[in-house]
Amino acid sequence: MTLEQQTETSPTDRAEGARGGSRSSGEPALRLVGLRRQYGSLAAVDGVDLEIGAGEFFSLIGPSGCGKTTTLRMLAGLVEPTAGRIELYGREISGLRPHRRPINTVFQHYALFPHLTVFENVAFGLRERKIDRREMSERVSEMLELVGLTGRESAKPAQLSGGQQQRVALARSLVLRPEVLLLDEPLGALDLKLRKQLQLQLKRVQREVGITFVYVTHDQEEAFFMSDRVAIMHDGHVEQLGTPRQVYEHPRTDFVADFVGASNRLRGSIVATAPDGCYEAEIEGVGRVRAPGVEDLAPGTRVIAVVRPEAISLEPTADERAAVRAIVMDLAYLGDHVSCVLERADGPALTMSIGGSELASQGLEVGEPCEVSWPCSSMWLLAEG
Amino acid sequence: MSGRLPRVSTVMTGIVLLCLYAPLAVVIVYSVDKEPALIHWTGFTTRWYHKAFGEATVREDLLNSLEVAAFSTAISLLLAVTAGLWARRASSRARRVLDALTYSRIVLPEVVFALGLFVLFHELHIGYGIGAIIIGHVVFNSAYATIIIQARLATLSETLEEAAADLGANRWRVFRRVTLPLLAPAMLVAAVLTISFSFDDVITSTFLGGTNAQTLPVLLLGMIRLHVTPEVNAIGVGLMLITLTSFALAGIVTVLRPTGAGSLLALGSRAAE
Repeated sequence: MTLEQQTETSPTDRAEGARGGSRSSGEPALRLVGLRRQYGSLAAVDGVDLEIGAGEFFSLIGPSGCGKTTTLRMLAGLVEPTAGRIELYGREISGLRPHRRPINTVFQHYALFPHLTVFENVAFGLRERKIDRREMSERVSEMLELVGLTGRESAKPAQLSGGQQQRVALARSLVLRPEVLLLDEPLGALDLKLRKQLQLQLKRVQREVGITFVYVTHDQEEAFFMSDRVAIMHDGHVEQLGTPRQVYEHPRTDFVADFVGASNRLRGSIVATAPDGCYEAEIEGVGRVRAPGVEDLAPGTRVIAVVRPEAISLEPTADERAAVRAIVMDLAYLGDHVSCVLERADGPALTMSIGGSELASQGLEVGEPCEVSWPCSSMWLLAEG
Repeated sequence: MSGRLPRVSTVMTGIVLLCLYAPLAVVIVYSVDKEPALIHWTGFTTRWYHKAFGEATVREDLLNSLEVAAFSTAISLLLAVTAGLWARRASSRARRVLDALTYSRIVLPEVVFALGLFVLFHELHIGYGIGAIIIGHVVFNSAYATIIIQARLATLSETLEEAAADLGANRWRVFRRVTLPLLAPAMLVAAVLTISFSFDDVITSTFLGGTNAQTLPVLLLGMIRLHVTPEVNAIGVGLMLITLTSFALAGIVTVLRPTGAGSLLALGSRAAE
């Protein structure tokens, strides 16, 4: 059942549905221009420019206090921007009150109405739109089916589990066929297993309805798993924008590298530029390497070399590989892989992530010395600071 | 040791309860006693009720009391909800002022407020009577109602209202469909309280009733000045029944809506919804 098929009733409703995510003119769904929000002298959001494509699953991620939730609330109309514009398909919406925006929100703690049943919760917005009874109950039933809650129509929110409540909140917003759905840490209150399940379900629902999702989370892994693109926010501005892969493999700043979980960050300096976006660099405790990095690093620049834990292995040293000697300090079994902490005499400790079988074949023990290496091409250089 | 302490406390509790409720029992027993001299039990009768509520004054004053209770409760709830909603948006300084004004109406002697209104109404040439009594009752009733409504509002997350706005409800619809239903149980509790306070009040009603309006408790007070008749007991039982009825109705309403609305007693504990 597609959204287009459901919209054969009232003319206003049809227009609403037609806009719902299925525009394909290449025009972005949302455009944020110089968006700012100040609280006293503190800028919670400090000049954010973003374009979010129609039908995209877009995430705003960052540590708490980075401005991601304030940005989301400005999109919803719950917080007024101090400066800047928000455009929805080219139409300025920053001045509109929340109930006039074709944008809906799934709140962090679901915000289900405790005095209403599941059905009434989902029908809440439809009733405001004066949708007739028969159509309302059809649309509510379809939505409850989509989120797997058929049969719970007359339950009160308090009788549902956290995961079920979350799905009611999702259905309550989606039933209105918004042009953009905002999700504010919707899985934050759930346990890990349920989170994983609901991540899959959210992704599936988003694909099925084709609505633009703007997702806010502090969980980098969750954002990477679900999103087409992510924006990493820091101190009120966007630090880096890109696909999860771009952001993870090619972080532009030390903050991003740290935030996306690149735990091995070695210091060094640029010696010379090399072809194909690579540099010759001198890395402390490792030596001379040729590795790729961010653009425009001049010789002499102090840099951070990011080495991903899964790039490090016990393979013997060879050309084009950087190697270090270290002592195994800790081995943590994490199911599908083992995380090893390696202490070095001449530099910060490294984290290595290797498969359990590799560990067994190499007979690695805590307290034993070892030699590890990684391909230089897997490193990533970025300016320090 | 462990077996004895509860027994002592049981006995103590029993004595206290007996002392508290014995007077009520006496009133009830005498109101149905055939013997008018109030000395000993001679048999059951409903004669005093017929006699008491057959009198025009009693019936009229009962209606006055009902009217005062109904109007002062309605006005108090309106003021309390308005004040509560205002306080949520107000600065903490303004909130403290509101709190001070609210609590002062409970803490300061009622007789002072009654006297003040008496003088004020005289100066302004506002006549004494039912209207004046209603205003007088609103003074304390609205204070109790405000405290109850504010306690409930404190447990309600504004996110619910934001969610309603997000789903397309304008400000009035948000209030109508979310805020008001969530406040309803607290309003019910407040109403039960203010009705019973209003029914019970003698001081304000005496000061502001003037010569042409009298409530039932004031009548009762006048009657016992002469001597305690069985009719007085019957009227007393009548007052008790009215108050109990309002409690019972409130209880039934909350029992019929067990989820969401919250029960009368669990009101304060229903946080974080």
